[in-house]
Amino acid sequence: MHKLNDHELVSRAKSGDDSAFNELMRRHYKGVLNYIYRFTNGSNTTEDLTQEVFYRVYKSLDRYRPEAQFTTWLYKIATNLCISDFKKNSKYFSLDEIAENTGEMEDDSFFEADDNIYRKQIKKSIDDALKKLTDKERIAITLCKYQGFSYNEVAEVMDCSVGAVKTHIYRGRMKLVEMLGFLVDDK
Amino acid sequence: MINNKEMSNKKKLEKELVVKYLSGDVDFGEKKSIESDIADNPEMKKYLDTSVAVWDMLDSADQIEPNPNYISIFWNSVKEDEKNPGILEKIKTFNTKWVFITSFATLLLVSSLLINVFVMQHNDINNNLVFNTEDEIIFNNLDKSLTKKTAAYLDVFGPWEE
Repeated sequence: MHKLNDHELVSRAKSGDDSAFNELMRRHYKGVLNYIYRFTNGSNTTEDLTQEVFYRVYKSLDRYRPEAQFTTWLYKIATNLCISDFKKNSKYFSLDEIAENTGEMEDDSFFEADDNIYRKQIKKSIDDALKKLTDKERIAITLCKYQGFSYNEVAEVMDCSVGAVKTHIYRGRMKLVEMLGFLVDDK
Repeated sequence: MINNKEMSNKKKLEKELVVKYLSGDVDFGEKKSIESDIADNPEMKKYLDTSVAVWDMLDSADQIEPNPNYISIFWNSVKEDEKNPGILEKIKTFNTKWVFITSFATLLLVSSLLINVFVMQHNDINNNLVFNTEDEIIFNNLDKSLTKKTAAYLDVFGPWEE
């Protein structure tokens, strides 16, 4: 049996096939989770928001237009949800806070190899740098870099022109070079 | 002589060109020109190398793993919401026929109330406008007395009818 594409899975899910929706979740859940994690600066509501995104997708399957790509639609829902959640809460918890709460991000071991410390420093610097970008720059770069979206797809998610997406990406990249350049120059 | 501001703008432009070049958003002519600039300008070359390294370094950003039970958590919350639907959900599940009948009945009720109010107001206005003969005489007398009394003073505007 051939592997079903997202459109086929959506149409099966629409007709009540829950296993098709499970497959959609298996394919996209982690991507959306990490997208929200970066968008919200590592908020501790990341998992809840991701669940909410899939809940909204599930409830609005009837409104899905097959002309649009499923991933574009999915990330648009995720982006809108993050924006409205941000407006409601006005701030997000920091990465350090989530690490303290869950212990997921950090190794508790006190005695660590230099290399491990260096890797952690890099990760922290990247997160800090991404936090300092504007929302639009962060969305554009995250979708392009981590989700592998094309400019057109990013433009669709962000409801703006391809030219605007390019501008956000150029500016964001330049800021990242300014903020993270010292790490690569040190090598 | 190039001043500091011009120099800073020039550097910014060079950086923008490098980023644009790295993003693959230049045509063949621009590409050749930028490559030649990079070959001649060590600062641009350094910026190019740093940009590439930073972009690659983003791959080592933290990735978080989903809760292993994310699928069952999802279906549990769906079930929970189906048990306790919100108002919108309740409305969605109404039988279309009953929604139509209720809407029609409400519309009918509101219309009849509005018509009733309108007819009552209209009757009130008509009742107020009905004059009898006695009223007519009083009005005529009033009109005549005013005319006579003021005619002497206003004869320049005459002639005045008796």
